[in-house]
Formats: sequence, C-alpha cells, structure tokens
Amino acid sequence: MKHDIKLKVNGDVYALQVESRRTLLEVLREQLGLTGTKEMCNKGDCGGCTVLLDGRAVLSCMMLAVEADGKEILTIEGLAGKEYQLHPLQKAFVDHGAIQCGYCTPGFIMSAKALLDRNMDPTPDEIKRAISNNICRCTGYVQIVEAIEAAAKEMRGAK
Amino acid sequence: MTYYRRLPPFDYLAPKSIGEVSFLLEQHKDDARFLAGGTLVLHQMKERVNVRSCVIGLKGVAGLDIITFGKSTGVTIGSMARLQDVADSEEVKKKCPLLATVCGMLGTPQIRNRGTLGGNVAMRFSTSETLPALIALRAQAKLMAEGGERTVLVEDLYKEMKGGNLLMDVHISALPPGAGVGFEKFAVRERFDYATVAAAVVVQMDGKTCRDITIGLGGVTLPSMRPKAAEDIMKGMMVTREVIQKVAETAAEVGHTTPDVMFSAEYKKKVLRVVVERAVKKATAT
Repeated sequence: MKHDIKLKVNGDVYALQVESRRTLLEVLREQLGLTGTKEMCNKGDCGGCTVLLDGRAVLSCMMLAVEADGKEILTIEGLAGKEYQLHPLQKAFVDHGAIQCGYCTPGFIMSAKALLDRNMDPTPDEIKRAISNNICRCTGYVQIVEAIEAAAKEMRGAK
Repeated sequence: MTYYRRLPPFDYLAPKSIGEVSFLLEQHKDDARFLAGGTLVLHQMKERVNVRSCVIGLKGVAGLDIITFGKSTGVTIGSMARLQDVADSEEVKKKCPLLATVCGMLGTPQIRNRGTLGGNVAMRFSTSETLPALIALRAQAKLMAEGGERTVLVEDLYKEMKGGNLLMDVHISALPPGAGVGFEKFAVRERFDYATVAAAVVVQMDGKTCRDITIGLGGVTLPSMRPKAAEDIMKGMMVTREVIQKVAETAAEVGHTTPDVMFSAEYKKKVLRVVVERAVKKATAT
C-alpha cells in the first residue's frame, strides 16, 4: 500500500509517495538523499538516527514515514546556517574533539539540540540524561558532554 | 533470532475514530495488529515476530491521547498519551506523582517522545516499569472488545486482555490525602535499560500503623506482579524495620522471577527483596 505524504524537512516541503513499511529513516536517506542521519543498529538502541520531529528528539528508524505526514522534521543537514556556518553545537563538537570516527555525531548533536531548545543551561547530569539513547563506540563521552556544555554557554551568550 | 533491517510488507490503516477501529478489526480480524508509538511493535516486526498483513495506526484516533482530571475522580489517561507528555503534565505530577516519575524515568528521551502509556501497558512485558506503578495505584483499564467496552484492573490485564482488544484508557483514582508512594528500579544501565526488577508501593498510614498497602512488582511473571501475601503482613501493623524486611522477603518469595541472558532467577529474587524494602521505606518515610 502506498501513501501520499507531505514532510517539511529542514524548512523545505516535500510531497512524497511512500510504502506503508518504509521508516522515516529510510525515506530521509533513500528518497530525500539526506544521509547525515545515520543508520546504525536500526532497532532503537544507538540513537544514530535521531532527528527532531516537531521539536522533539525521535528515533527515525523506529517510526513509519507515513506517521510523519504533515510534521516538521529537522535533520543534521538543517543545522548549519547560511554559507555553511556551523551551528554552535557542531562547532563545539569540533573544538572539543568530541568527534572520533564521527558516525554517531549527528545523533548526539540532534539529541543535544532538543535539550538546548528546552533548557539553555543544563547541568552535566541533564546532558547525560538527554544523550542516554546515543551510543559512541569510540567512547569519547567526556568530550561530548563538555562540547554540549560549551555550546550551551555560547548560545546563552548569543541570546 | 534474526533481526532484519527492513520491515516486512504490510498495509498501514489509519482510522480516525473508535468506530472505524471496530470496523477495521471486524474486517481484518487476526490479520491486523495495533500500532501506538511503534518503539516496540516495529522492533518486533523487524524480528518478524507477530507480523500481520495490516497495521492499524492509532495515532489519528480522536480522543485517545487525552489526559483528563476530576477533583474527586482522579486521573484518566488516554492510551495514546505519550510517556513524556504524562511525565511532563503538571496535573499528573500533582495528582499522581508516582506515575509521572515512572513515565519520566522509563527508557530514554527518544523512546518517551514516541512511546505511549497505553502501548507500554498493552504489551504487558514483565520488565515494564509502568505496570508495577499502575498495579500499586490500583489503576483500571478500559478495554474495547467485540462485545463492547469493559473495565478491568490493570493487575488482571494479563488474563483479561485478549487479541483484538483495544486498550482505550487507564484510570487512577485520587489517592487519599497523606498516602505515601515509593518506586525503586534496578537496571544495568539505569537511564536506558528495562527494569531487571522493580517495585512500586502505595501506602496509607495511620500514625505509625499501616492502614493499607499495595505493592506492584516488576521483572516478575505477570500473574505474580501483585504480592498480596506480602501486603497482608503489613496491613494493620506498626511499621518497623523488621516488618518491612518481612514484607520484602515475602514479596521476593511470591514474585516469580525467570532467568535471562544476564541474571539468574535466584539473583533477581535477591535484588527484588532489596528494591521492595527500599520502595516500602520510601513510601512510609522510614
């Protein structure tokens, strides 16, 4: 069965035809070519496929694309500003060495974005809770928490 | 078990009302299964467990995600209310803090943003954190079945809820003033994993004497989630350290644990005793 859906992804509206069984992750990566959102465990454990759905962090591998009809989605590609200026979170991840192989990074950044949109001054414990569904097998968690703290500080200053 | 990276083919149906759900159930009978938040159902379908040719998405069914309150009647939570919404609801926090706490600590932010209370309850996993809490709160579940609607206690869902039944809402009566609540969970990774074992306790005290107590156990088989023998020990008794220890020992004895890949049934029983003891202490503020 095919469904006609409309997705607003990173500000652009797409009219798509999707099969019932397609996950949001598959549609983002395979139909829209937005491969920044990563496919890793594909079972909701690792958080690599995290995107923001109407401002909330969700696992795009554990959600049917048809259920995202009419929703607003933000992926890692939608974070950078004009002329590819990095988002403070992206910049902080680079500056703090919070990226090793980099495969989990989009998921971590999207989880952190959902947190900072809600809470501009999170404690380290709140940061750890917010990224509890994200796994980094290079295990550079300390730098990741530090990077999110630094980004929060910069974003507070910018406001 | 083989885990496939793609879902099997199925038709997604999106009813807009309870009437349409009944119609679709009638039409598809055993060929259909419900989809609430999807965090468990899609996982199972990728494992090719309980695959059906139709999936009935409940997301668009009017009124299923509403949380309502009555001054004396308590809280009614629609089955499609998201776990994070239940945790964040100021009214639930005020009137039913135990459930707000449990929904807020269950799984991870991403899971809570998609997962629903109804989905978590209807799956009836022994490792669910919401089941012990709802059992301790003596919550009632409204089911829609072929013959119409009926209300059953959440602790009886394991025998009352049949295939094709739709869980519509969960109702929690207002707790009497001064009731104490406690919840304890043991998991390998506290903020991520299912509860290996858990205990929820609601207690009503009369000074230092326990007037009434309800205990819900997690991580045990569904029929043993309410250890009435342990509750009976405490009712009408002056609450002392010894009584609490006896309650915890009995609860761990009655709660039927099963081994899994990480822990033996015996080990789980030992930890269960500890979590029950801690939850009772928390509820009785001792």
